[in-house]
Amino acid sequence: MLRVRHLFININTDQGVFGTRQDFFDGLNIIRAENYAGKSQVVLAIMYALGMEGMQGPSHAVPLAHALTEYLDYLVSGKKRNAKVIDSMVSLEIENGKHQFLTVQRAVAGDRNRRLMTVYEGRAITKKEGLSSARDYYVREGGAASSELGFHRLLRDFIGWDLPMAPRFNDVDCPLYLETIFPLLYVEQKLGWGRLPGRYPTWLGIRDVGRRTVEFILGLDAYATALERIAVQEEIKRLKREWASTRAQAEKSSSAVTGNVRGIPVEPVASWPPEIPPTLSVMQSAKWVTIADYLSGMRARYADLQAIEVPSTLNAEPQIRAEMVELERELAARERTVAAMYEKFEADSEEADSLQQRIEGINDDLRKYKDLRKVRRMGSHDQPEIVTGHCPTCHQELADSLLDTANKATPMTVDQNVSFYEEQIKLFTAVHANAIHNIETAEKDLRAQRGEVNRLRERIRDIRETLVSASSSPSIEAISERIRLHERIARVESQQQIFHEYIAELAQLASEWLEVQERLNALPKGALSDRDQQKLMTLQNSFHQQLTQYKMGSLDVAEVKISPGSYEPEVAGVNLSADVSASDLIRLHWAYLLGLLEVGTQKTGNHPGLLIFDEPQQQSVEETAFREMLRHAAGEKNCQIIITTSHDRAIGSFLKTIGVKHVAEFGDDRILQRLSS
Amino acid sequence: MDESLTVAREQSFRFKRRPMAIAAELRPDWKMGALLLILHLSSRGGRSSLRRLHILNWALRSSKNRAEFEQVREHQQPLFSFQFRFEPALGRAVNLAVGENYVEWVGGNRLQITPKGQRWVKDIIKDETVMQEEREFLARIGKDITEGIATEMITVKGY
Repeated sequence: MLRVRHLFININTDQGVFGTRQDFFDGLNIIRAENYAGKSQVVLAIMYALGMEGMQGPSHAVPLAHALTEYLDYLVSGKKRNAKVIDSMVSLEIENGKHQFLTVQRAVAGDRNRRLMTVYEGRAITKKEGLSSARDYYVREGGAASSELGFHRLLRDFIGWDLPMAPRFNDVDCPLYLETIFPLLYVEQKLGWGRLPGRYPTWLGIRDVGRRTVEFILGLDAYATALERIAVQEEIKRLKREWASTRAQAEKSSSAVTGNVRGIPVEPVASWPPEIPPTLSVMQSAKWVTIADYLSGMRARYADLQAIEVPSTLNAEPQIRAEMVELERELAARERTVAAMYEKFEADSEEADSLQQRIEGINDDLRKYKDLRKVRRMGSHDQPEIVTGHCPTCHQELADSLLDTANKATPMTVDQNVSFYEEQIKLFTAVHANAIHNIETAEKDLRAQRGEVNRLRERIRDIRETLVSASSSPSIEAISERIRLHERIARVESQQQIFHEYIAELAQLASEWLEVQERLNALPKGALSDRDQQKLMTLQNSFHQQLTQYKMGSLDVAEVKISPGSYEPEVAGVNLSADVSASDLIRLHWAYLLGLLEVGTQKTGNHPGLLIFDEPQQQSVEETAFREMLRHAAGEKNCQIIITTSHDRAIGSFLKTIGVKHVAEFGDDRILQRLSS
Repeated sequence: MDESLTVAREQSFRFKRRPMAIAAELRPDWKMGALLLILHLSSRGGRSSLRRLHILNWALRSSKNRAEFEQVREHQQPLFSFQFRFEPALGRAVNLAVGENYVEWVGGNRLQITPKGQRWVKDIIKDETVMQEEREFLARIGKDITEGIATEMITVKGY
């Protein structure tokens, strides 16, 4: 919440001190004075005191009139005199929703730096509070909205705003600047009216500035929803990527023990472990066994070996000779298997290659068909007769084909042919994927088989070595079997460990996947949540009610809608700024800003409840419409509306009848008056 | 005999001819389009002999053929090392195109693109996405393949 409480303009001239003091109250405040009296200077001074002149453009020039910067006219007994400004400043007391006060003071003319704001905690002008708490802040410089000493950061915190980040053109995101919000709170007299919904500053480079601002003022979830949607999609992408890479690593790592990983789902899943848990298996005697079984088998064998002493060559001989025969037979059988598998593997690879070529061929033909469709459409003005199925020379029926005409088969139509090809591609792609899968499986089998063949060979070599060594020496094969077994157990164990780590990683990813799916489900279907739609509906109702009250003439009220995309008034098929009468544009402007005030000041909105109209009776809007607007504004709750007008004095009695208490009537006087000499 | 393979005598069979899928190359207007592109982009004066058209048609036919043809050209190998075939479909397309008055015979042995053919081929060229690979190929080889070279290719081959 933000309220303006007291404005003090102080101008030191060579003819004495001039200026004004104005109190402002809750509800409707009217400042009535004649033209040139300085009404606009009062409201401009409020904006200047808040450092808000950037809302009108990037210029650093003081937006105030010469009376505050150069020279000031005043009347002495009917004669016009001229006073030269030495220095001037504006001071403003503001209040927030916690009934805290701040006084800000900013130089207009003189030596003092205009980018510095002196801030007092309390009502420094009217109550002399907090005079010792003066602290300087800066405005209109980089960091004014974010740095500790930036005045707009202070103001933001004072109002209690938590500003969203807004995307910019060609730049990083920035917080929604206060300058973009104030056009919905203050309408400047000369350029502000008639530009619906407001004159947003474009120089800050914020994308969709109008949308972002209204979203913020009404407290819509839409932007947060849009951001969440993007974040969720990013997260889904990341999880898919990480899942695929973890899966690939888990499968690849198994090759260290010529193992085989099965059962890791291709896409992330939300429940973990899957019904058939992933396994790492290793080949043992031409069969895949789980790594756990494999390990326990090896450990048992190792334990058995450890329990007996290493025999001497002499003692081991009869047994290992028998084993040798057995091993050699097995080796031969294994080598045959490997050779057969290799042959099949080669054949499968070849088939995959030819499928690939076939797919490419069909794709090329499909491209030609798609071109052909366009060519047919192009030729339409000189359409070849052949397309209609007739010979151009004899006009007899002719097939849509250049194949030998003796062949009586009718060709498909182009569309049939295209969908036929598309089917074919689908089919061949599936077959190809299957072939690739077979190849990969065969590769693993082959590698595992070769590993076993190698181990058989090692064992045979060890036995041979034992048989030729001295008969009293310990059996070489018995020793090396122990060593090799020991080594292999260690290797498989570490591989099992690595596999478990990957599985744990997948479990973690699965829980993140579940989380992101929940976030996805929580998002509203469209861009707007139910609450958002409710708010926009309330805004539209208030808008319609006011337009009826103000007697809008050039459009049917019911046709004006609040756009769910831009949140601005729109009429289907009509450019509001161009097709609506100038006075109706003013009515729309009043109704829209008052409507925003009503909806935005409710619980979840961010409207500070401050609205300033500088001379709203523009474009000769009818008297009755203006009075209805005042009546409507006088009825607004929980807000402060400041309206300046040069309407004739008679408005005073009307204001009384609608219960407006705070009217500053200046008669024929200037607002900036002599304060002391 | 397996029961399921026997057929009751009173049951009658009806065979229905299904339409047949054919390559886009064999559609008359595709081939005519290609013919017009060759005449327009790669023939001097929009005019060419039939045998020269056969060579370029074969070269244009697939990405493999195009690559082979360009390799022969780039490596300055004798042009007869490009293996090409006379495609019967081209002959039919030429006859149809003459019938449609996209091309006409001039001097008995040269095929010339007509104003009607020009209109069509210009429409095709206007849309950059249509027959893109074909037109890029023809634009690359330009009008360098003269009648003389075409004759040479055919003579050496002994046709």
